[in-house]
Amino acid sequence: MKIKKIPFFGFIAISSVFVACSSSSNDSASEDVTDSAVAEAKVRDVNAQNVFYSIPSPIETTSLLKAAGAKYDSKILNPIENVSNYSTVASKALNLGVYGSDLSFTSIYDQTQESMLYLRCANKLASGLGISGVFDETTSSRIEANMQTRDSLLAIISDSYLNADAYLKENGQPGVSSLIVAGGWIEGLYIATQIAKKTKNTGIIARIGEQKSSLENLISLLEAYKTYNESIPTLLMQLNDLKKVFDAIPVTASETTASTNKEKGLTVIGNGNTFNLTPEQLKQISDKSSEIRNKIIK
Amino acid sequence: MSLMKHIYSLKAFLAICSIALATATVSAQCATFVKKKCMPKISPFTQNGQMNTSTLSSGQKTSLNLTFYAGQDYRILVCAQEQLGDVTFKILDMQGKVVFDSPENDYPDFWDFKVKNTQQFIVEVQVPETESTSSVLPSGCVSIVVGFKKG
Repeated sequence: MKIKKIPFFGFIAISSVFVACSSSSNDSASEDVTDSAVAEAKVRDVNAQNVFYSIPSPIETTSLLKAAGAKYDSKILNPIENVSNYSTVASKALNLGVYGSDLSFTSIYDQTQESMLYLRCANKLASGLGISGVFDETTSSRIEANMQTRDSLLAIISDSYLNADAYLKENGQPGVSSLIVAGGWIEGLYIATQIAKKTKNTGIIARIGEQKSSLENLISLLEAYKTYNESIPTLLMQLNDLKKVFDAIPVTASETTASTNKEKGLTVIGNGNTFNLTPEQLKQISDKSSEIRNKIIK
Repeated sequence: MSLMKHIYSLKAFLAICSIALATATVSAQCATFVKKKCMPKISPFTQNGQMNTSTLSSGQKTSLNLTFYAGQDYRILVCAQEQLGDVTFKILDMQGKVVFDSPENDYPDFWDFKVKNTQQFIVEVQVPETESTSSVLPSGCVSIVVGFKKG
């Protein structure tokens, strides 16, 4: 028996070193995937059915809010003092998403000082989750150097979130990554509903109605990882309650059309869906999203 | 009997460890491939912060569901390792109507578009069947990257 245990523990030791090396030397990893590794990974991919559900980034939704005429209001953001309240993996991940949305909001409205403060919150939560090399001093320096160029600034924030997403997926934590995405989406919806409540801006109200399909994608994303973290099933229940309100929104659908401008290399897709949100439904979405968001940030 | 049970358990455990190790290695290598080879092609658009990457072999498919908003321009980039051959993609609306098919447009690896009304699309990516007689099918990383910019 002893003889049989030696190679077993030897294998575990070698595996541990191998995993540690592969996760700490991502940048130098070979681009060629070995046949044996791929053969094993194939099994995983077939089982996962290879379907991704993606959610628009907080930067994208915040840009849409600004384009619709929303004004900057710092009072609706998650206070930076709250950052020290988050101790569990789930609360850190969700609030990394929340602060990511807030950081996008402050950056799009050129609020330099607030952006640096929210960046520090994101850095603290990312470090707490063991994600290295994102929202760190290098990111901070890059942001400071690009404060006057909003597009570069937004690209840096997007890169940071991509790197965090990649890091977590590489290290077997896609469930944590899905919580970051969820936190960002919920904060984005909360910001939009708070602005809509005050301003009754029809452009923003239309954007809120359009979140119906993103919510469906978010639920599908979280469903795929519900066994990864005990907070995900609870969050799913809350999101499914919110979905009931969205499901009641009448949708006018018309057949899509496509026309391509070959010179510009751009296709314009016409028709599609229109979401006709009533004031009562807006209030219900606003109340429900506030309830979910306030539980996350407390 | 007990010894045999232990050996079987040990073999099963080793198999699980091998798969976990291989998965972690492949995942890290795919992420590196995407960062180095795919992300530069998304410019001048801003990528949306999510990595949709999978390891596929000959004949396999992957898809991405995403909402696209009115008022933005978008780029969908499909990036695959060379050994997979001419990976194709098509974009379908929620009724299943094909709005873009890469083989009908000279096999580009990206598509730029804008929507007049907010729409949900499915991006379907197909790895071609191999003509090789080898028992080992070619495999590699495939990534669907979405970029946006103000329209």
